[in-house]
Amino acid sequence: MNPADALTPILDIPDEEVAIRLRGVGNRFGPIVIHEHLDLDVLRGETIGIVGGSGTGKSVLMRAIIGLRPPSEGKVTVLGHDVWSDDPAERKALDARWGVMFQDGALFSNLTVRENVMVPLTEHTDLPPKLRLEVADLKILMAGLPPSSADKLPSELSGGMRKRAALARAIALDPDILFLDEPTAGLDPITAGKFDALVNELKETLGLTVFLITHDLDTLRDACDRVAALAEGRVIAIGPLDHLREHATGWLSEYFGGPRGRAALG
Amino acid sequence: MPEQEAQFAIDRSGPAPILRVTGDWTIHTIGLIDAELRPVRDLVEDRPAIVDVSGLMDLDTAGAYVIEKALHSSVDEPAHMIGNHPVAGRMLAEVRKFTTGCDAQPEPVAMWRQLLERVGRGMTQVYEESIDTIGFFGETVVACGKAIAKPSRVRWLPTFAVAESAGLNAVPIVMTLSFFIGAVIAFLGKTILQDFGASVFTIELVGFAILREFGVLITAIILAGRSDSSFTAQIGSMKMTQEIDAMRILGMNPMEMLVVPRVIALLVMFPILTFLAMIAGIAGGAIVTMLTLDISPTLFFNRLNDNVGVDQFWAGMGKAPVFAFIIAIIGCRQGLNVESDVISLGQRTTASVVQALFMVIVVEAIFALIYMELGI
Repeated sequence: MNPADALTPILDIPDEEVAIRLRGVGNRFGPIVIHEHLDLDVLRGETIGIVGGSGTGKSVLMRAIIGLRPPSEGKVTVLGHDVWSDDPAERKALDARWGVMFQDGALFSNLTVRENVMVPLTEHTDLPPKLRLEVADLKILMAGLPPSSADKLPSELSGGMRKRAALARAIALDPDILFLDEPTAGLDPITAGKFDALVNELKETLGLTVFLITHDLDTLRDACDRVAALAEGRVIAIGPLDHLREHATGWLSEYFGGPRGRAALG
Repeated sequence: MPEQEAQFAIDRSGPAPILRVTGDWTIHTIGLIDAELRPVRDLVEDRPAIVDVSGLMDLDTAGAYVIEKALHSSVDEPAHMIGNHPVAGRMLAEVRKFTTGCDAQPEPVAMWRQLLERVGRGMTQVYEESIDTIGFFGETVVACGKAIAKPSRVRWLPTFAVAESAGLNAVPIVMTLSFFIGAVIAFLGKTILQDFGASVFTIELVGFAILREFGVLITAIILAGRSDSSFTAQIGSMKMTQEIDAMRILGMNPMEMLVVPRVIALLVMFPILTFLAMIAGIAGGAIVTMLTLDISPTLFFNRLNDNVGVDQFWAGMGKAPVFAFIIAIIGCRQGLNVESDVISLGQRTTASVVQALFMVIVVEAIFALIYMELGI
């Protein structure tokens, strides 16, 4: 079966084509079950958009994948390495291979934008200081920020610029996978559109796999190769946006068929 | 896959120099080669330069940046690329757009100028802080006056909450420390006064020291550290999450909601804590004098009553509301001055405790002068 057409999570893709593989993942907070037997494959080089109502655990899922919160059960494999393995070498192999842009940017508030971008460079590379500064500036410019913003503190930036600064830090090491948690939330439509274009451009240039959590239907349309819908604790449907819309049932048809969905997707 | 060392060679046999790059040029490998490549940047001047990527393996944007920089390549005058590579063409073209902007380093400022600037900024800050504090003091007095005129407007729930956390919960620490200070004073008095054969005056020493100075001072110091930091942190984080703005919009006055309850709570609790501190301090002194000087409790309290008197108690107690007011308004003011970043929260909390301690000691000295003039 061609992955592009599948509506349910497909399970027979060879390992080397998969960037992120989730098998039987469960997450619960006490008695509240967020995910149960969740399977998902993210292919290398694709942009996957994760949608789902509020409280369906999109961010929880991301935190389980990037090693911040252990899943209650199941296996998370990223680029062939088990994220939650007891072997520290497995985890170390993934260091510096992913970049994460958190919902509110999570920039270090006591560092300037340039210093923020330099943090991963200082931690993971042995670049000479001069080159480190230049590479940091390069990433800042690539993220679409003006050079003058490099010396500013995060608190001096607008929301959109903060997101770009967070993106610059996320791509500092040219990661294989980029995680974006609601990158366009709170941005005006023009800025959001530019951000989508920027993500596409970076993905093309850097050959990234992008894991994108969003509520923004425009972003789904413009930036995502495939869309995975979370509901009832698992991935209820996955596939290209158009394909998903044609076969939408239940929550998904409400999601796409509502006035906002129709307005955005036509 | 192990990384291949990044290497380069310059071929000047042709009409234009050719930069041949081999191996992996990624952010992890270029650190070693950058120093070698940097002088070459100025050698490859006779453009158009050419880069040969046929031996190139892995390439990322940082590697592409170093190559483009060495070739002095720009969008107007792009370097030529020969050889085949899956991503090099696209990567070099993408990075080329930005190479000119990356040299804009901040201009270094001379050391002496930095020093002068900091001194100047510090001076104006002290001035502005003083003006602000006085302004805030006035604002608080007005808000408290309104509260007195119309007690129904006072928010009693937060007032009691603050009274509990800042007052009641501080009782054990205030009493314990006072007890020990009382004991230490008694030991000191006994040791020194024994030389004059006047060790019985230890009782008067304990009485004067605890009632007049230490009971209230220890309470003030503990509350300055304990409550001021928490006032500043509480109000400061509310400021950071825009809760204060929300209050203003909803027509609630932050002075009335946050400052007045804290001032009232401390004004009530501070004298009570001071009273308890005095009791504990006297108890500490009494136990030490009784055990080391064989003085009976009756004698101790008789001498305390006759020679120290209730005046000293009121002299100490009289300072309590003043200290309470100082501590409450400094904590609240610093909290309201927190900005939206974490550093300022830390700075303000520190400033709050330091200013409160400073003011407590200064006012204590002023009181000492006043009492001396009054002959108390």
